[in-house]
Amino acid sequence: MIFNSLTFIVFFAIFLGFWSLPFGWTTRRLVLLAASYVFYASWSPPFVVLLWLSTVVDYLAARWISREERPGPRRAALILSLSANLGMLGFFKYGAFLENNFEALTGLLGLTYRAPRWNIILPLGISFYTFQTLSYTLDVYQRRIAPSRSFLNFALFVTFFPHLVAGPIMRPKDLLSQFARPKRASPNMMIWGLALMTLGLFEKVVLADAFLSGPADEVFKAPTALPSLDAWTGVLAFAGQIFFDFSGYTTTAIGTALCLGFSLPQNFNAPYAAVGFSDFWRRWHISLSTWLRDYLYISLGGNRKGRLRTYANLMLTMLLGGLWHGASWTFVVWGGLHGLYLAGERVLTEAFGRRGVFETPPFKLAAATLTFVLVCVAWVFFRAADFQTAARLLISMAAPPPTAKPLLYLNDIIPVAAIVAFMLTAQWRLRAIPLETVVARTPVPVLAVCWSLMAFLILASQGSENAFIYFQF
Amino acid sequence: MLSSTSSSSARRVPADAEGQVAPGDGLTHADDLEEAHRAVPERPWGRIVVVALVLTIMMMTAWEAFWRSRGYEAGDIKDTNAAWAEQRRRAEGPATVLIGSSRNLFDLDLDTWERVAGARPVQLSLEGTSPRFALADLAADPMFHGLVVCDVVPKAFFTRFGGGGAAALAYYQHETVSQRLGRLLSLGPEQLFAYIDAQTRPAELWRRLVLTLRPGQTPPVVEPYKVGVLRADRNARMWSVEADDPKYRNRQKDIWREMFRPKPGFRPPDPAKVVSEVAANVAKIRARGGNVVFVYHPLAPELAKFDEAAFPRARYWDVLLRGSRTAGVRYDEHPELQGFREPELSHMAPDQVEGYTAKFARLVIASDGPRRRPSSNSRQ
Repeated sequence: MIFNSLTFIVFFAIFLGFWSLPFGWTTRRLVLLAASYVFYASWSPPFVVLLWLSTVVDYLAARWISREERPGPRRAALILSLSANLGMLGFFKYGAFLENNFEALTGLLGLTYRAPRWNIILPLGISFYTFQTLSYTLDVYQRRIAPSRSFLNFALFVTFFPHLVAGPIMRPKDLLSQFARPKRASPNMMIWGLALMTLGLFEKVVLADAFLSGPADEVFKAPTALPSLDAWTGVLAFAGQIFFDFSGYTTTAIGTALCLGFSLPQNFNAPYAAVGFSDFWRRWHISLSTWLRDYLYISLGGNRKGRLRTYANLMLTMLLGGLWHGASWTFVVWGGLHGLYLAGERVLTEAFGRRGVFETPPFKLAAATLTFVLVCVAWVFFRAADFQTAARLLISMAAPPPTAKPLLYLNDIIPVAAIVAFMLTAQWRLRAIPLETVVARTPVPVLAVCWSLMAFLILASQGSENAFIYFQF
Repeated sequence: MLSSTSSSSARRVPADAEGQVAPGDGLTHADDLEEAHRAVPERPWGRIVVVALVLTIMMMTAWEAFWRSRGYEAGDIKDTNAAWAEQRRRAEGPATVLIGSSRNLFDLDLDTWERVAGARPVQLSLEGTSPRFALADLAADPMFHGLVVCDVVPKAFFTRFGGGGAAALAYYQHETVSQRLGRLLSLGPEQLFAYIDAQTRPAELWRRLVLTLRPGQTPPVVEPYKVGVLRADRNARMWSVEADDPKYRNRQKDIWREMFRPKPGFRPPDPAKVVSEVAANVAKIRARGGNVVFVYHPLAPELAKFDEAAFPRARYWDVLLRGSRTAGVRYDEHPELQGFREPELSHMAPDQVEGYTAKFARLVIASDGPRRRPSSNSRQ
């Protein structure tokens, strides 16, 4: 079930009712686990088996690793965990992609090979929960933590329904210990959680789905080159859509967890106000970028093995980060572009060092604008169905043919311009201030009016059948 | 931005008495790591939530009252993919299934049909959609051996396979447990609130505002406004505002004229491929003991002229019937189907549909004739 559905509201209301009853902590945890499996199974019951498999394999592998001192068996247990998780991910997410590329390769060699078509369905959230369970096993292997003593706690760490299908990708330090002690939300936590859920659903239902998705879809499916205004409007609409969609999911997840008494970490922190790309990746999908940094980039050697290896590690990390988002070369190019951006920034930082002018507001604003524009250019590859579409759009953005005909009407352009302007202004103001601080400073009547307006617009928009974009990853 | 949280407020929580370090290696157990706690802003939340709730209820009450004053009614169910999928699940065995475009949807009353035929038909027609996708789907379904009443609006039927029907069919084929439950739950609010309608969404209202065109831009194709009201089983009929409000009706008339008038340079499609595809699907249904009847519902003479000009009967309808060896019921061939009123040119007035359906259903049943019913062991 998706957060923006009536099914979820009913499910959550029933669960919240149970959660407030005075049962023991073990009973409450067992029911939370069962509810999380129901939440997941409501898409496709058979795929719960994969979730169980991932849970059991990593729980046992971590225990095996912690008991062993000999490097060989420790490594064997790690390989078991990696093979099980990455094997599942590879089969379900990348099987068809590999087949297609193998076919294309044999075609280039003059051979004809037709792989059988398996029609593999991607289990929901598999990229998220496999990375999450892997982080646990890797932490135990790298002796950062000792394994959990409780299978129930570990199963909840993997399955806890608010973050199960689209993150944040939780680390043991973020969540596992929260299941060790009884949780119940205070009245203020509950109300703040509901306020965050309203905010998240407003981002998703009203901003992303109702106003931004239409113009983005129109532009990205246009069969011909477009005037610059149309192309940029479509790309800006998508930049806003993907932010509000994913941030909306995360905010709702955080609010949902808070209503139950749990704390999930932030996954976005004003990313479009980033000054530079390393700053961007500290603010966008934080749980993925830190995962990639800690378990991939640093494992590859990070910046400890010379300049060339540093750049190679950076590129490899970002290329794989792109591939994580989807089994398509367009995602790889998106990741590659971000790798190049990060490498370029590193070159410039090494060349110029830290200077006072870099800290001045005009410079920061100019750098943030450039960062946002280049992030938008990369979004073209992320959203385009293929390279022809991406090329057509990039040409339209930079140098459209004079014959290009306007596609979007003012009805499309005005809301995109207004929402994107609001988004950028708000993010710039919030780049160094947490939302909680802003709320604490806002007059009570303004908070009440804002909350009710958001709730009204969600109800008036009547929800939608659109799933969150990141569910497909 | 909006999901920013304070992680700086994390504090160390004392570990429980079971021991906070793993034996031997000095590592902290995963269960004993320090917990992050999200900050809750210091505000009088009780007061805020009460005021916000009251304001939301006030705004929703005003919104509901506004739409009721514009003729919207509670119990008019949104025609979603979920609604179609629910009916598609009923289309099995000897069921009578109505497929087609908006005339088949709004001109036929399921209660009347049930009274005449003894069994309630399944309504699978979709506005603005060619029924060929549904015919192909029913033909491929081994559980179906009933009667298909297929509405032929030539412009839709001969130029498209399904259009929006593809999304409905995909939804039916991949519908999740959660979505099915969502459909059931949504019926409650839809029975209560009139404002729940695709046309009342703020984004839709904004999208339909007429703004200045950009230089070199052609005016947008105006989509039809709300035509009918729908009950939970997709039994539909024309909306009272469409029937009674001259301004609304005239605007809709202009849209139908624009939609059905042959455009300059229009090249009629070759019907052979469509007829061959349809004939193959009809044959599959007949092989299981089912049948298909093609139908053409009443419409205003000026729209009928457009149809005849773009898709001449002799070249399309007659060829379709001959090619698929199928019976047809056309309103212009039966005196008893004449004289019904189409206030906005294309669809029948709501007070006419019961009388029309009774006569129409009898003709369809007569044209269906005796059929071979499959024996029980021939069903899969």
